[in-house]
Amino acid sequence: MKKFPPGVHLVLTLAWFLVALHMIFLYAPEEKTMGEVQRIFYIHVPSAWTALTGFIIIFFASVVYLWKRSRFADELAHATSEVGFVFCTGVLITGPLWAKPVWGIWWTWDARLTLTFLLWLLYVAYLMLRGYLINPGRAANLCAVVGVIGFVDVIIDYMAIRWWKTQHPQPVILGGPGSGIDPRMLATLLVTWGAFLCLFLYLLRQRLALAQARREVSEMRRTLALASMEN
Amino acid sequence: MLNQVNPYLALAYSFLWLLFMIYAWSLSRRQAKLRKEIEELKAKVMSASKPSPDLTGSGAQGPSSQA
Repeated sequence: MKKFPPGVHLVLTLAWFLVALHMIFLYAPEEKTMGEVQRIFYIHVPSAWTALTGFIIIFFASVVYLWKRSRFADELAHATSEVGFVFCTGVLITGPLWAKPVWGIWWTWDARLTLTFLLWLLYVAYLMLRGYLINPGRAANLCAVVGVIGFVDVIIDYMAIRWWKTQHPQPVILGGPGSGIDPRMLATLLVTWGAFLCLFLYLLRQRLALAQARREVSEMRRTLALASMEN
Repeated sequence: MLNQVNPYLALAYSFLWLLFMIYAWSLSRRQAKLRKEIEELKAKVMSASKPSPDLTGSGAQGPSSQA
């Protein structure tokens, strides 16, 4: 990671976003029925995929923590929960803003929307547990359990539009026969998702650096306390 | 030009970038606060680890030489 400094990562992310924005507004064709508002798709779907990816990382990090008691795995899960929460909030903001002009309603309690809202609540629960439990070991254990159990929601959320007929559109990628989108739309979507992942990783690195700095502070405080006891 | 932009599209993009910027700003603010705290603690640790003058060899010899 030292070979890839945060400054370079940030510049790469911004450059990637510029390419993505160019593709969204100038390269991708306009959708015939929805018109211009369909371009919300290019930020809504990558936000959702990134939020799901975030919880997948939390799941694996939680399993590793429960198995090996690895401090890094716990810190990774905690950092990912915060960054994933931001992306999941993005899904819940862009979704209704797309639904209103297309469906005529801001929200409906169909399977996909409800499960995505549940995913957001899981992120909130995870962060609240971290914030309110005083004992860090207990917080890490309970959060790891939330990370493992919450993963069930990720699977059902992903499969919801494949298993049930929902108000939410059926999958356009990996959706089986009859699904699919214009190749230019697909290229734009994938490039934008790449930019979102790059931003996600950048924010995750920064959040991990914050955790490291916090650890440093608590170690220094302990050293000071020991030194004052000796004196 | 702005009148032609779909308001929902403009709102969706604006809110999302705003969300990312607020989070990035909050991260950098917390990092800066911790960096400052680390510097302060480092200075305290350095001063605490310095041996006190009356426990040094010269200080210890002082009273005996006077005696």
